[in-house]
This record gives sequence, C-alpha cells and structure tokens, in this order.
Amino acid sequence: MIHLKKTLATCLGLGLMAVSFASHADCQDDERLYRLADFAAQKEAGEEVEPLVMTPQTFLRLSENARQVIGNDLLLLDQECAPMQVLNGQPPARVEMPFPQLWSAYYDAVLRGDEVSMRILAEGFVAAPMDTQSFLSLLDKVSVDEDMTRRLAAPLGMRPWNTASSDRCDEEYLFLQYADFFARMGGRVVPNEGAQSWYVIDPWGNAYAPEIETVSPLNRYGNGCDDVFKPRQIAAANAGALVFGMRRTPGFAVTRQDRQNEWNDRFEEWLEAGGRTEDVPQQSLFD
Amino acid sequence: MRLRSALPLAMLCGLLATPLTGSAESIVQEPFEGSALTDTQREAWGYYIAEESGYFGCSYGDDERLHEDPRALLSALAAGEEMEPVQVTLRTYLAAGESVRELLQRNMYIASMECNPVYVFEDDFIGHPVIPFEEFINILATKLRANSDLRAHVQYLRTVKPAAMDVRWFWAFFVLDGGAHQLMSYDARVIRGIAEMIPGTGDINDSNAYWEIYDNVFSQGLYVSDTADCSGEQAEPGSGVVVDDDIDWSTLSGLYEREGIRYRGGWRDPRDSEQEDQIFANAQPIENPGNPFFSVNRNVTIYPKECD
Repeated sequence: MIHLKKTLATCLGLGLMAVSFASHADCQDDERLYRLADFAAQKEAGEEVEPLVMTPQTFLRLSENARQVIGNDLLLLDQECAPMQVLNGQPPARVEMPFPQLWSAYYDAVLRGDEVSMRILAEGFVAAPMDTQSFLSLLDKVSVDEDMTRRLAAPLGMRPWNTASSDRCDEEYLFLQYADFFARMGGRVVPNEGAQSWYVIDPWGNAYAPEIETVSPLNRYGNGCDDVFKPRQIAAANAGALVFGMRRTPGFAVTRQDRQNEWNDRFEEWLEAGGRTEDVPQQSLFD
Repeated sequence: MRLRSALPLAMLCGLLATPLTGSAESIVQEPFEGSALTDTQREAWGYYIAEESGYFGCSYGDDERLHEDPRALLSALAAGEEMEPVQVTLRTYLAAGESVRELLQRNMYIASMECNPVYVFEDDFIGHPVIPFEEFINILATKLRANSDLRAHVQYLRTVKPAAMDVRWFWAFFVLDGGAHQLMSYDARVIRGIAEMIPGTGDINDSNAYWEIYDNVFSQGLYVSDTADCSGEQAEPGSGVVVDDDIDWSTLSGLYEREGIRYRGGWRDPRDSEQEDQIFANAQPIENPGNPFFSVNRNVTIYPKECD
C-alpha cells in the first residue's frame, strides 16, 4: 500500500496536504457541494443554476451520479484558481496539476474502478514540471502489490518492469516507479540550475544529481532483487532529463567526492564533445 | 445564505417527535464503544487521532454540535438555517437512521484524517475518507454482520482508507492474543474470520489478524515518527497504554520485520519469569517524553523507513 511519509512520501504527502489546503485556501470548492441535493433539486425543477466551482481534486473524484446531475454546470479551477467551463465533462484544455495531486486522484480512480475519471484524467490533465531535486524522490517503487501494479498500469497503457528480466534476479516481480507515471502523465523535469536536469545512474542503480549533489540511493527500492539501473535511466530520460548510465567504469572512484569529481569531469568532456546520451524513445501519451 | 427550502412542517414535526437512534445522546458513535479499554487507553487513542490529523491541518471527529445538542442541530438543518457545514465521521453517519442522514446531507461532509474534503450526494461519497483503523474495522464488522459476503462490501473496501499510524500505536492496540481481543469487544474468531476473507492475507492467528487486515486493505501505512533526525526512536507505549500486556518481543520483532522497520536491541526476559511480563520487566521511564503515552524505554531503537 502507498506509504505517505518522508522522501518520496513527503512529495506525495505534501501533495495531499496541498489537496486539503487548496480546498480551504485560495482555490476552494463551491460551498454548495456540502448540500449538493439542493443543487440537484433546483436543476430538476428546471431552475437556472449558477455553475458549481470545483477544484480538480474534487472534480476527479465525482461519483457517476453526481457527474450526471451536475453535467456542464461546472467551472473547473486551474492552478492559478482561474475558472474554466467544462464541456462534455472535460476541461477545454489540459489542466496542469502538481504530480502528487494528479497521482492521488489517479490512484483513487483506479481504486474505485472509475473508468470515467481515469479517462478524464488521461485526456484532460498533465503533470506540472518538477525540479531536479523533487524528481529524485520519484525514483522509487510504487509500494503496491503486483495486482494493483497491473491495475495502475493498464489504463495508461504502461508495461510494468519485471525483475526477472535482470540477470541478477531469478524471480519475477512486477513494479513501476512513480517517475514512470510522472513521465506518462506528461511531466517534465526542469533544472534547479543550468539548461537541463541531468542524472548519473551508477552500476548499483544509485541515482545521482550532480547539479544539486544529491543521491537517491538504491536501497529505497527495498529487497535487493530489483535491478533498477535501466528503469531509473529510462524514467529520467522520459521525463526530459539527460542521463548518464555508468554500467562499468574501469578504476571506478571509491569515495563519494571522487565519484562526484569523476562524473563532473565526464559531463564536461561530454559537453565539449557536443554529444548526447543514446536517445530513449518517448513513451508519453500526453504529447 | 439560506438553504433553498425548509422541510414541510409536518415532516419536521414528525422527525423531531421521533426519538433519535436510541436517544438524543447516541447520534455520535464513539471509538471503542462497548469495549473494556481503560480511560488511559481511550485517551491515548484520542491523542493518536488528534496528532495524526493534526499533521494534515485539521481535527478529526464528529462536529461539536452533534455532541452538544444534536436535536437542535437537526432542527436547524430541517429549517434550512444558515450554518457552517457539519463534520460527521463515517461511522456516525452510517449508524444514523435514514431520516437523520437525510437531514445531515443538507449541509455536511465526512470527516477524514487527512483533511481531504469528502462530500456526500445521495449516499455516494465524492472523495475517499481516511479513517482510524479502529473505526474501519468497526464499520466493516457491522457490515459483515448484516451481510456476511465480503463481495457486498467491496466498494467500502475500495473507497475508505485506514489512516496511517506510527507502528507503536499499532502494536499497542492491535497486536492481541486470545482473550485480549475481548477487551476490544470482538471475539478473536471474528477478527480472524475477517482477515481470512480479505484477499492477499497469509496464515492468520490471533496476534497477526489485525495487521494482516491492515496490510491487505488500502491503508495509508505504518511508519515510525522521526523525532531525532534519523538517530532512531526509543520511546515506546507505556504499559498502561498497551491493550495486551502479554505481548512478547518475538511477536513485536516479527511485526517490525514484516513492515520493513529496522530495529536494534530487544526486550529482555524478566529476571524472574513468574513475576513479570516482558513488557513490564523492561520498561524504564523516560523523562519529559515528547509523546506522553510513549513514555518508556525498553532497550529497543527503531528507525524511520525514510532513514534507511
């Protein structure tokens, strides 16, 4: 099950806190949602109603019944809290939403088997960009069982990673990373400094962001039978970052500072050579 | 802003003349009602709820107006008076009679431990309530009593999420053996039976039944609070808080291992095995504990998962 505390969890947890704050601070749901039956009665009686104003977090969790009753009498708030008229149950243009909130809405829709909300989310929303540091916390496995992994993957046309494909692992285990969903939902990583975010994945699968001297260690994936080198490399590349995968490095540096120096040197060499990493096909449905 | 219409006068009078479920005081459903928990244990649970929901910026529970004067509140709802929406816990809402629910629906929301808005429309929820595990179990047990087929309650299981808990709260209340289950007002067979029904659970026994349930529904997870910058947490629930004081270290360490919680140390056996249980034999009081209910040190350090 999803654990919502620090590191990755902080990212999502802050997103959930943002859900509650967003609903009670600048972007607020219409107060008539507390007494929706009155709104329904007015419509049924043929009276003219002011459209309901709603945050995306609530919009994506409407019950089927509520969605039918409300219809297009709905103004959806974007990230700047500007209202937009919903047409045929969809926002008129893609709404950018912080990934933790988008993920939470998607997870909840899958949980309750709400295909309508899943479709609206896939067609009408896109993950807001994240910076180099925040994205690192997404390089973590979604902590759900394999059945739930498949359920989360299927509506977005994603294929889970399989540990059995690694030569380090005999057993089959399916997993996905939050970063996979972020990229799939159109999310892009933007640098804290410089022109482009870049990461180094070392032979053990640790992900290093030299720009901010931060590491997302392998052991956050747990159990040891996960070869996460390729999943991390691909997820970061799909999110628009430059990725250096360091599978084998003769005389590999021992200390962390040595490693950092070596990576910085290689990056400088790469810049001077004018080259780039091997292209990884984009897999986003949100282009 | 006034509600659009008050209820017809005859209906209003009828509702007010009708006794509320049981009595005017019984609209609100309290945690651990009917159990044999001590006042200290109930206070400790209240502390957990306040602390956990406080992290998200709200206060979980039934609206004060429901506690103070439910009849006046319902009259005001019936009359369409302007008021702040009523916060109602899921258990209180589901236990209320149909007429009371109809009134509440005029201006309410379901309480959630993560402070996310959960609106109600014709008995459907807009949003997913996150509720204390004790409440989750109580509602599920009530539903199963009415209809013993778990498939009839799939929507409940997929919509309602047990709240996150520090693992120490979990074992203080939900790691129970045999007779200790009765203290929580359930027969151990009932809890084992529920655990066996839920897909994904393993071998069930008295001690692990609650945690098999928690782990296999859509719960928000067990964690370790980090109050010491990843240097580890040593404070544990005082003996007066722990429901089953027979709990032994092997059971507890099994829970930590199962949950992926790193630990160091362990409870020592009592010097005289006939005199004291491990939980008493090991407890050294902590001066000025951050959490007044995690007030002893039993020679165990546990580490937040994010510190791994």
